[in-house]
Amino acid sequence: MIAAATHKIEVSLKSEYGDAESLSTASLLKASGAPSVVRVRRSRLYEIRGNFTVTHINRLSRDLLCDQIIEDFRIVSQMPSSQGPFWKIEVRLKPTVLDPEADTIKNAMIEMGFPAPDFVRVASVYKIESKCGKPQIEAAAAKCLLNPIIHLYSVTACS
Amino acid sequence: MTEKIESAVKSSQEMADFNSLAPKGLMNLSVQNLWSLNEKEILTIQAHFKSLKRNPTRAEMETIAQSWSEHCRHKTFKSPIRYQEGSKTVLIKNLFEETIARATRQTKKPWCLSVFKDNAGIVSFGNKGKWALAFKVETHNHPCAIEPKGGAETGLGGVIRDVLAAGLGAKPVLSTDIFCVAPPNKKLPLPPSALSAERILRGLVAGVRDYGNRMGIPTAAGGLYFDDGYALNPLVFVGCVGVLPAQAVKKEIRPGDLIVAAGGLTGKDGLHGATFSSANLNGDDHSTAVQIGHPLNEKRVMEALLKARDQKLYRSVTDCGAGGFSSAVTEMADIIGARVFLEKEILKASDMEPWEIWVSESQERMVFAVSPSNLKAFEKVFADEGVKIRVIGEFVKTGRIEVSWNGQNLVNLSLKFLNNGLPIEEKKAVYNPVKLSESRTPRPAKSLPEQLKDILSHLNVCSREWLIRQYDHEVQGGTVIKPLQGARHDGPGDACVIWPQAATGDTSDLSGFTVGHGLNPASGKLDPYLMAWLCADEALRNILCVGADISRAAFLDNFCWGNPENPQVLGSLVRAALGCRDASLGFQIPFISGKDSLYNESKDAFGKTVSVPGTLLISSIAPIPNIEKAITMDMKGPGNSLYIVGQTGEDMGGSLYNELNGISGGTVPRVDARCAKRNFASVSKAISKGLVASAHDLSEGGLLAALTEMAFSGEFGAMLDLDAIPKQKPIYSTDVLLFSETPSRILLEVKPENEAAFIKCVKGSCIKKIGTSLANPIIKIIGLDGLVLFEESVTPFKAAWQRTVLS
Repeated sequence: MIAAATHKIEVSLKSEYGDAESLSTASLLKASGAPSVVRVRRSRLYEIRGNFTVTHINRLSRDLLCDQIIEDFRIVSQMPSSQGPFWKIEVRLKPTVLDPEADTIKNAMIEMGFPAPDFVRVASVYKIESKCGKPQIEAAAAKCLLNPIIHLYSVTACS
Repeated sequence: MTEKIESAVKSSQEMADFNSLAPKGLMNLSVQNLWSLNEKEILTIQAHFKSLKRNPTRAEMETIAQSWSEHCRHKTFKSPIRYQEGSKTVLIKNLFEETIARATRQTKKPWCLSVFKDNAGIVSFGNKGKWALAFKVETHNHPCAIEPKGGAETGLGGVIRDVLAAGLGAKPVLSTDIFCVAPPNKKLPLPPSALSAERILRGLVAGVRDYGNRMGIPTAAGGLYFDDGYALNPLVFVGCVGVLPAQAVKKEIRPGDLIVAAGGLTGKDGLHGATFSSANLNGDDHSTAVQIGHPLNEKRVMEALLKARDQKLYRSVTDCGAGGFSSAVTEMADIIGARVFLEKEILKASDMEPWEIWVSESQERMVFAVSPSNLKAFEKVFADEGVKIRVIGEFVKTGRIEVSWNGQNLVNLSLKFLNNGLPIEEKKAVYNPVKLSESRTPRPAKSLPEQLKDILSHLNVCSREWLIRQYDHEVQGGTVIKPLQGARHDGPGDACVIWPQAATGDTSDLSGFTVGHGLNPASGKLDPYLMAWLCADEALRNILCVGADISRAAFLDNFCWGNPENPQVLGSLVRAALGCRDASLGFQIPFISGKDSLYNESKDAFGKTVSVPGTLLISSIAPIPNIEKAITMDMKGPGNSLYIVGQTGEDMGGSLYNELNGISGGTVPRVDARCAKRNFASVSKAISKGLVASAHDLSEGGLLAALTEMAFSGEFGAMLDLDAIPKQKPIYSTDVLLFSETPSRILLEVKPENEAAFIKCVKGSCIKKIGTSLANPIIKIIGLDGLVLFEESVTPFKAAWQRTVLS
């Protein structure tokens, strides 16, 4: 019997592909009051809770969550990966707001024969290289990356 | 019997002391609970319950508030209005009946199968009369101001469901979107709660893109309009056209039919949308009114619904929009009556109050009337698509709405009170004409090519490629004429043409249809009556340019105005409605459906209440008998003759030229319906005979802008003689001839071999040759003095025009 745990899987575009979304995010941040943004890397973060083995999670990431040709996935452990220094902003929908993407993943997992997950949620992660301070990054993010009415977010400094 | 139920209601869920509250206390209650009921209305409700000798329940109050809201009842359009214009005062008993509905009745078109009654307007379609088209355009302004992406998604989802619930259900074959927002490049002072224009525009486009593309419906028609007045209240119009069999237009409900809910489950999301949309926007956060769309759920419902329709498994259907079950069931029960057991509904949130289940606006839900003998088959069809159905009650011949939850009575209201109890209040409307100064046309500082560049790169004219390319306009394989046209598929098309073979399955029938839009808030600021005429004229010209049969055209209206309690605001609304009536009668084109969104106002950064410019959108739809005869707007070759339809007048009021040169005043163009109708009929005939190579309507920027667009789209040039332009009276200013925005004008290209037949075909109309197309991509204009006034390559103009809105 495996204990139910929350697994976090981060999916990002391989570095050899042009990431238009990250580029436009960078220019939006610059226009929203964070002029010193050098680079933005955007990835998707899947939080899946349930009784899964590591094999399950690897297969799930490979076959469903990640497009292996252009994307890489990483199972997020407690240990932070060091690619810093950067600001990490995680944006997710409030629990009271419907998350259609998570809903679809849940259904797909059951159809693919995985055990039914207890909980699935999708978040966006932005890794921002910038000399700006936390309040400045926070204010800029609230202006262009999220809507406080439906989103929760956290800003952390990574080194 | 009724007494017994009444006493049962009394024991549960009752709002204690309601009947003993003073008017002030009642109003506080209305504000607290977001009911948006005014004092007279809430006093009427109190009197009703006093006569019943009991207090209402929360669920009953919610039901009444939803059903009496502006959103559901269109109170402004249906109450008496004392309208004062200058020294004249008239009493309009019912604005909608006396303007739009009357015009539709008087035009007497037998091919209008259902007007203003159903969830969408329905007209007949196809060369065998077997099919019908349902068209609806909705507004979704308030939710989009708060959460643009979610708002645009659910707005589009809602209008698609409207079409799915038109008749017994139509298959959606085209979505449309029109956004009115503030210019994104302009930094306007905003209150802290408001989102920036760029943010709103990006969100709206993402919402329509994500929802429409996933539903597998082409988004191929629409528009974008920028004005500072939309900074706080963006306007979002979303539309949908569906195809249904002609015999599936009628629906009915019989006592004993089951009330079946299908689609998404019910949760707390989107409580109070209907009452919320009838309130002014201010800084408070209304997060419960925010909804997020789930296109895959709706897609499944759509597929199952169409299958069940073809197997005749249900008798009636409606969508769960604003007001949720409360509105949907009440609307369906009409005069029959319904009994609902809310515990039968499956919930996705565990902490819901029973009344919340009743009014929740969770998306992607539909309500059906199914006869008990068909229930099993109905359930199977939906289960095959992975949709759970829930039997939540039945229609009964009691004339009442009765709702219970686990044996507890929540609602027991007579439909008579709900449908007819709303107190009618006379409203006051005043219209003061804007005083216009005489037209002055000072010589602008800029040269002609610079001015043309300014016009083409103006936000309201420039290329919309950024936005159009995000939408899937090809899905279903029926987009015969695409939104971007020309040699490189990047020219500004007037309208798209859809051949709905995916819905009809009949490839031998070459009938298609086209949809156009007319929107002109700039002229509305000068005169709303003339704005209505201009919108109708533009909507008609757009579809005419691709070859529509305009004798079968129909209009849809969408009014977006500020607070109608303000007599000035209501006055301009009345004047626009009068314009709609006269334009409809003038062109002999009926309105088949419409929607109004009022209270579009909020407090700006300085605490001043600002309302949107009165905005009327007229959408047009018309069949194209043979899609092979449809044409685009790009120039097709050198040596072809260029013809102009209609006379040019000195109509610079509200024009782009005046705006760019800082000139105020001038006359607002008037539409000469008799003349326009005759000209349009000739053009329609000539296009259907295959005599016209391309056609483009003259709108913002006038003749020169339209000519340049035709030339650069086709990668040819043109030579024009200003002296040949037919004029209403002598015009001596070349700027007026080139930039005047006289309505009802179209530019046509005719090949030499068709010219004789064309001239014969359009005899008796005002259509004159003004130039020829050239192989060399230049624009050459011969001035009134016979000398060359302008000779420029089209390339820099195209570059200016392609300055995209955003990137």
